[in-house]
Amino acid sequence: MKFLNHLTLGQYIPAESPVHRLDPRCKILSVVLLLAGIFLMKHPVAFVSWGVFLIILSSFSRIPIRVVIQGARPVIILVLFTAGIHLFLTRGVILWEWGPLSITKEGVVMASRMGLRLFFLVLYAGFLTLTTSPMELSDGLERLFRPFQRIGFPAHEMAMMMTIALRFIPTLFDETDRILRAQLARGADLEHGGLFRRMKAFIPVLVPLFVIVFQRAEDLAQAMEARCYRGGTGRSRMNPLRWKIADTLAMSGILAIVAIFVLIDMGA
Amino acid sequence: MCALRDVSFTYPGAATPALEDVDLSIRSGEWVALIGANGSGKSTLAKIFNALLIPTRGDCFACGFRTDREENLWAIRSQIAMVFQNPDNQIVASVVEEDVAFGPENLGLPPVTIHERVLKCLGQVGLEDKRRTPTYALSGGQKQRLAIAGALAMEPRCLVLDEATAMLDPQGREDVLEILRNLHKKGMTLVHITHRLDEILDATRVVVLGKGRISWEGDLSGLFAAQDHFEEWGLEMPPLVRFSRLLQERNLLPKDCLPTLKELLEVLCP
Amino acid sequence: MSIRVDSLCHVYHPGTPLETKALSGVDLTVEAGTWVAVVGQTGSGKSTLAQHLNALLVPTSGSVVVDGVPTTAETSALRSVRRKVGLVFQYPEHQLFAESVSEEMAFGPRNWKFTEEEIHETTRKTMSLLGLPEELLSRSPFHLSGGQKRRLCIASVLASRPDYLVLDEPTAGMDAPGRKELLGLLKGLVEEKIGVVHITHDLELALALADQVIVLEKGKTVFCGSPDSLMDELLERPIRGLCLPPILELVSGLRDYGYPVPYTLDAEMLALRLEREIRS
Repeated sequence: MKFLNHLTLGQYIPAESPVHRLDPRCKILSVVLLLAGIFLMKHPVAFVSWGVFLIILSSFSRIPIRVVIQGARPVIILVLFTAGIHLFLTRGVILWEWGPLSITKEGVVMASRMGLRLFFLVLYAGFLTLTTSPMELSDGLERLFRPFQRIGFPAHEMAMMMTIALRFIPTLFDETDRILRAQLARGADLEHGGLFRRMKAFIPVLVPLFVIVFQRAEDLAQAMEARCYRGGTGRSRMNPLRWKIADTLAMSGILAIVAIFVLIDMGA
Repeated sequence: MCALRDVSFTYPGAATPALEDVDLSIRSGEWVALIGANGSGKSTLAKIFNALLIPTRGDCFACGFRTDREENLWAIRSQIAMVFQNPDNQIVASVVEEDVAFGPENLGLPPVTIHERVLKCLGQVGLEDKRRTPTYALSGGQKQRLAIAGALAMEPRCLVLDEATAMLDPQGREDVLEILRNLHKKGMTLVHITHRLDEILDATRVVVLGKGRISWEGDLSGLFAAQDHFEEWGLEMPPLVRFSRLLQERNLLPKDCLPTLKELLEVLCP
Repeated sequence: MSIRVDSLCHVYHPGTPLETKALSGVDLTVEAGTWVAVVGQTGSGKSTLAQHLNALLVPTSGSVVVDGVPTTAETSALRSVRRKVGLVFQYPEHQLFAESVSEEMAFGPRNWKFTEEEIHETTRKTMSLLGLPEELLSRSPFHLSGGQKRRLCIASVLASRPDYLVLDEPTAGMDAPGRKELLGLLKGLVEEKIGVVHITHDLELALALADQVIVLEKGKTVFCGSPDSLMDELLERPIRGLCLPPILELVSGLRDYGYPVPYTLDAEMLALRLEREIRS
């Protein structure tokens, strides 16, 4: 089922670009900084500057802006919903009324502010997953959280779980589809009936899926043990992460940009 | 390479043992075919070799190490590698080369060595051009070849294949068998577990398992001479083998001719 | 009473960069009470064809008509098609879900609104047809042996009393005795006037059981006829997309060398004929 490419989490697009080559830890930390900055923005000028920066980033990572925006599609409903809540539930100077619903001037401001914040948040976070492969992401997170292993945080296990989960998403998709078709062939009706009826109708799809997953866990554990897996101790990596000067420069640059944008925003 | 003495194994909670009083030695350089009907204990026996299962009675020595000692597991499993039946349930990574690297990474090898091994093993199984392919996009046969590459990356002395061809189509099966033939030629010890008799024609020794016990042991020609027992052992004589035996009975074929397509054509159509 | 497939074409993901033509103009007729084998390699379109037969997929062009009802009909007629044509996927054990064998057997019939007595009756009859003892009814389907699970899955599809049964590689992963037993049981279905469509890549198996064989290659029919006429055809020319079992490859080699031996799967017959040729 190759069309799953469109649905693979984060839609990693392999390419040769300065952003792709950055250490994943740098990218993860940068995105955290950017997100913090985005959530502080209030003034329209700030929004414009964040938008311009997005375009600059997209050219630096050789990913067309169109593709970046497409990444927000799955979340568009959430963004609109949040905007809608702020639009209709904020009190203030009423601009328009219809029965119990009213839109205020403050509502419009809040809705656009929150909507745009969410929108930019998704787009900037999308940059992380577009330019970083799942394995790199998992490695990056593991290295970042490694200092916390001393206080009992299972950094390696978390990274391994992420890697394996991502590896099996397409496989599970296929298997769900296959089970679904098998039960449909036996006359299962998954389209009609009330919510409760439909949920019950999914049991013949979910139970076999669980069985497969548990069996797989057992088999996979044996296979990993057979290849001498014993957790994170003593493990090396084929492509170890190496923090380079470019990463330091990139991080300083991001820090500077976020600081500047926040200042512009405060000044306006 | 591997020696089992009076080995019995019962799964926890099971009423009957899966293996009973098994005495078996695997010598270096052999290609041992372990055959038998479903439920005869073949997979259980496979997992005893590399200490995934510990005998409930008796001893197993793998590469000189006792399998029931935890401190030996590492050494045993880096010398005896295993390929399992379900292609999907042994692949850990999302990208081909990352999965082959999994074993060497567990061994803590330096990155340069890992890269070398990955390239070499992918070459041995014919997947070099699929190095950066996502693993879910591979066919069943390719996945099994990937699993073999992952096992070879441990640089083992022995490869155990637990019904590794059972879920493959004929092309996939043939691809895997071709790889095994090449490995065996270069000195790899192979333990090949299967219920298909058309896959054992390159074996140097055959062990038949039935209801957890060894029913018979010997070489290929001995096995096919014992065809009267096949039904009892749950085995089926492949047509080519039956054909060659019939010709041998009528003295139209030399007794040492292997019942493979290639050899038969070589002898009958020189 | 038949399934008629006419110029069936199926395209997956039309209009996207992943567009693939899985079937290009396949013709097939399955009469009640006959065994049709659909043979082909991976990618030949056999699984796609199987899903068309019970209306899980609808034709991109061409038609599939089951007992007079085309599979492009609206929902109610479509469901009647699905009831008439049972479909057993490869490795059907992956569809088991119920708490007991009787629940698993009842799933299909209940979906088709059988009464409780009818369900009881069909469960009993189908389980005996597939050699499953009644004491298994209260057991969990997950606690059965491999062979029993396989037969249970087929029985659970048969319990809905379909007129046709499509089986995709029913003996995949089975050892010789299990395979022999299952195929023997399935052959009995033909006597119950059920039309069997056997999808497989194993030509040997197909030839041994089928009344009619159709060979698919890359979505096209490259042969359609009786097993005997298939063997006759092989005498004239090789058939594309057909992976010959080793014994037929041997026959091919012997014939090329000059021995006029027939295409047969029978080792005894081949040995006899070859002996005659060599001695003469």
